[in-house]
Amino acid sequence: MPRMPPLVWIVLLAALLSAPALRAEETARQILDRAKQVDDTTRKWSDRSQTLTLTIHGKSGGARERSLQIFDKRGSDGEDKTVTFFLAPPEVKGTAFLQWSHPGKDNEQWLYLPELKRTRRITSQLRDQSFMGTDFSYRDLEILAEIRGWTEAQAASALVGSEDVDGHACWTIALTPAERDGYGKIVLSLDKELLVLRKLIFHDAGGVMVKTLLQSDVKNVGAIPTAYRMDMQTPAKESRTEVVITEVKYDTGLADDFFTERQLQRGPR
Amino acid sequence: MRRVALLLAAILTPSAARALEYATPMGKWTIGGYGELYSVFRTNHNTQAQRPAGITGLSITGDLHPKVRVFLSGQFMAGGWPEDAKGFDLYNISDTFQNISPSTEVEEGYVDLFLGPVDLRLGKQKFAWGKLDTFQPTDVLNTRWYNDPFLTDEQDAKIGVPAARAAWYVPALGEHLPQDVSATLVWIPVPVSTRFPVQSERWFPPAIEVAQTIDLPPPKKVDLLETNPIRVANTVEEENIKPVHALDQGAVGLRLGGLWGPVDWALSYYNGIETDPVLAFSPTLVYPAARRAKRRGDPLPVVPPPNTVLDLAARSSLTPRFERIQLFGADGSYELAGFTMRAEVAYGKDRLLPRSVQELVSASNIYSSIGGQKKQEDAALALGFGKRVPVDLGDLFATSDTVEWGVGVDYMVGGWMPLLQVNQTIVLDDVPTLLIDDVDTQLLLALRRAFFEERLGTELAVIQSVSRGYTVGIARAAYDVTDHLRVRVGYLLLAGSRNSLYGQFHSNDEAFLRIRYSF
Repeated sequence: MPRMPPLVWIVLLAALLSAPALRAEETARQILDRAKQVDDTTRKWSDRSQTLTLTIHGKSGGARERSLQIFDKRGSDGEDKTVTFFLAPPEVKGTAFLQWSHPGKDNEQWLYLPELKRTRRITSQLRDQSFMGTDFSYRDLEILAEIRGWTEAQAASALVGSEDVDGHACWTIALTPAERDGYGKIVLSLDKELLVLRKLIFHDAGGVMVKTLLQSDVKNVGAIPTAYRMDMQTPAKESRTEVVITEVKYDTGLADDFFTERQLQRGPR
Repeated sequence: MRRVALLLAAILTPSAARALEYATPMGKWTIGGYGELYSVFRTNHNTQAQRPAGITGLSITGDLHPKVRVFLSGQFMAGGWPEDAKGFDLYNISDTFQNISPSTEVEEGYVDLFLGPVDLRLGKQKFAWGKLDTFQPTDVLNTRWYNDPFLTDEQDAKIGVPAARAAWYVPALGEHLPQDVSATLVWIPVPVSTRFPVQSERWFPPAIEVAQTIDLPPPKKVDLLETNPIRVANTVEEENIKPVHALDQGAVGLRLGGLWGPVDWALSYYNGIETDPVLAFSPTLVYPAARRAKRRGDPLPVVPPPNTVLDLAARSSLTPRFERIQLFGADGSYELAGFTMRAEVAYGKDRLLPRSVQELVSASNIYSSIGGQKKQEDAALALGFGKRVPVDLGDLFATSDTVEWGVGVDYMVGGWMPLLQVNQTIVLDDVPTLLIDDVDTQLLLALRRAFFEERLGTELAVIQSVSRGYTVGIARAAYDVTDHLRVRVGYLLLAGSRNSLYGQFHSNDEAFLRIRYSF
């Protein structure tokens, strides 16, 4: 048997060490930091455009559909901006929502209502209200945008174990947000291979599970794994909201002036 | 029956209809619209009825090019408030009284040009200035129609004006300077009339109604009639006067706005016609007995026997007035600890403020308007000779500078959105008695909440006048049966002094129902 050269041994060893199975002793923080590092390097994006359909299945009646376009831009120092345009149904068509997120400060939010032809600054107290009747609250949308960037100071993390979500091996990590007015605990399932979120379970301050979010149909858009389907369930309300993303684009060069009141009135052009 | 069932099934299917979209060589075209049944149910059968209405609306948007968009919206209505209408017609922008049914209207029709930092909009359009809820002192660019004033949505009540609007979005000014700054210039080349109900409609203001007969004591200064009490039989006719369509009669508006820290702010200026309704009331007196004698060739003047009632007739016209005003305004909004605060102030120059016709037709005003003894005797003589005698009873709308301001705050608590707003109008000049007080304060309290995944929206709103004591209450609910079918029901309550802006309608309480199918 021919002897392998030392370099090959080193490469093999490095490959083995990088395999998920051998990372069992990693702490939750180390796993999250590693995911964040990937997000900040090979998967980094500065703006994103999505077209999606929300289907709300409520206890009170048949399914209702909302079509919308969401544009995000990540700024320096976590100053993110998001604008959402409602495309359907007709009663909400033309409604647009603008949010500027400031780390450590309340977000600024504006709503454009076409029936009033006015853009109105709205209260950040809306955070716990439903986003257009869906199972997502404004706070949920904020969390989904920010959770992967949370530091240990923002949310203490603990590795709970491993589980299988839709056939994908995942770490189960519990986050306890420092912010006291929101969820008491968020348990997330992070894909061991792709380092993408597969599931989030939201618990209230008393530890009661209030919502579950499943993310599936993960496909790569360039180097960025993107979940094309989401399913948010609120068991207490017997409702759920399905999200199907029909189009995603990253880094199309959205300018800062796209995220202004002017654009809310012009619509998604 | 089967057809009806199929139709219902089609309507109730969530995705039964969507806005129609067409990609053509001439860009993307989107067509949307609605059909609505609207009915009011009066609670007092002594008030004027309003027939059920069928309304359809259509809007077309054409994105011809990334820098060019065209938009057209119109409405067709059959039934509703018109009584004894003259038939089908298109609403025009010049006439104040338009008693037509079925009717159609081009609400807006314009071209948008997006030219880098400048947006141009040319055509018939509606504006929305100001930040307060319901009552915005700076929102004066559009005239409105008043045929159904309490239940018509704010923008629907506006009449599109032909205008050119240029908005310049100023590049970033620097870290500590205002952000998102824009300067908007509006030119409205010709005046547009308000649209006012005619006397047969449910919402013709009682403050402008004249009693069928008015009894006056004998005039003290006129020997000819010193023992004759007078009874005047009245008829009032609406008469359209078109505004002068000349460029020097147009209007300009300027608005500079932006963000400064956490504050949204704007400064505005308007110079043009008064866009609140302004009417003139012009009576002419005749002595029918003298007119008859004149026609027969009997001796003149006709002098009524002493101690008998002198029966006169007054024919009055109600005509629109077009007067220029100026308005300097500012508005802002700010969020603090979950409270969203909004404020608005406007200094108005030469604003036109409503009076009651009852003030004009009082005996003291009639006699003092005719003038001293000589003038009264001349008038009596002219009437005796069968002539028409115009009587200038003064202006139905008084001119004064005003300050209008308002402050509102809303807060989200447990899913409820309460809103409290104070509006005040301060009349700065010495004017005759008005339908508002010299310092007129009103409160708006609204409570809104959505239920069932926002399928059901509810609102309770109360407008309370502090000084005149009127109350307007609206309770309404909107239920989305499907994404395309919305049912709205509610109740309108009106109470308070007849001698006030809204209290004058105080018998016109009603329930209402709207069923709208949109695509």
